[in-house]
Amino acid sequence: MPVLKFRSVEELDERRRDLWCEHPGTAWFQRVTRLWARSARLNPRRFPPGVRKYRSLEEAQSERELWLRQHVEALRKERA
Amino acid sequence: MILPDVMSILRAFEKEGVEYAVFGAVALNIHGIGRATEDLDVFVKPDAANIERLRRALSSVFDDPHITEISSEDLCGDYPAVRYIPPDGDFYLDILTRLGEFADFESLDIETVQVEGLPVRVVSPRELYRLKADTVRGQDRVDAEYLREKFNLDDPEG
Repeated sequence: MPVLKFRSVEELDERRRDLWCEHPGTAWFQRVTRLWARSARLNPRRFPPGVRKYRSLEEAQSERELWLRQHVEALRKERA
Repeated sequence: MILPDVMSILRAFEKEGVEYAVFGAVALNIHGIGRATEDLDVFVKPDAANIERLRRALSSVFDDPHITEISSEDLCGDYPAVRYIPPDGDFYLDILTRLGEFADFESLDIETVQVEGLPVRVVSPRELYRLKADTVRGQDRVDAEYLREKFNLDDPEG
């Protein structure tokens, strides 16, 4: 891949289309596989196994955000 | 979460005949917008036979007695959102039967897309935009903007 240079983050962000795929096929899903694997290595998460029930998606998202805050806090302590 | 985890679940859904539709970040990736995620979001048809197929599919992938706690009484009743976290705990599955008054399984615009040779049922880009555009979560609004731009959804209601 060639080196690309940008004068600002905004200019870089405008090139996001370059990272999208018009016709997702084998090569695209291999790329997604690598992206997710890298993300899992960089930021491994652990959630409490089992089944949880919610009266709404908002309630489910609220717990997800709580877990995220706890995860960030634990990382901060670990890296302090 | 890694893609093989997701594909194992979707293969089991296909084998057991689960009526489902992927939405959320996994759908975004299927539609060509790459983003890492920690969960697989699926809408499922809210009937007892389908929930039984869902349980069978999950049990074929995970050796986990907790799967029996996923019930049609809940999903078709007071708990339209159920989160299943497999024993390894490194990702989770959000299972929905409806989204308030906003969306239910029957009203979704669903496409079948081939992913690694498997037919995967996924909400259309326009439907995904509709589901994400009006939420308060910042990441969903970013996703919606990307969908609007990639698929030229200038008139999302049209």
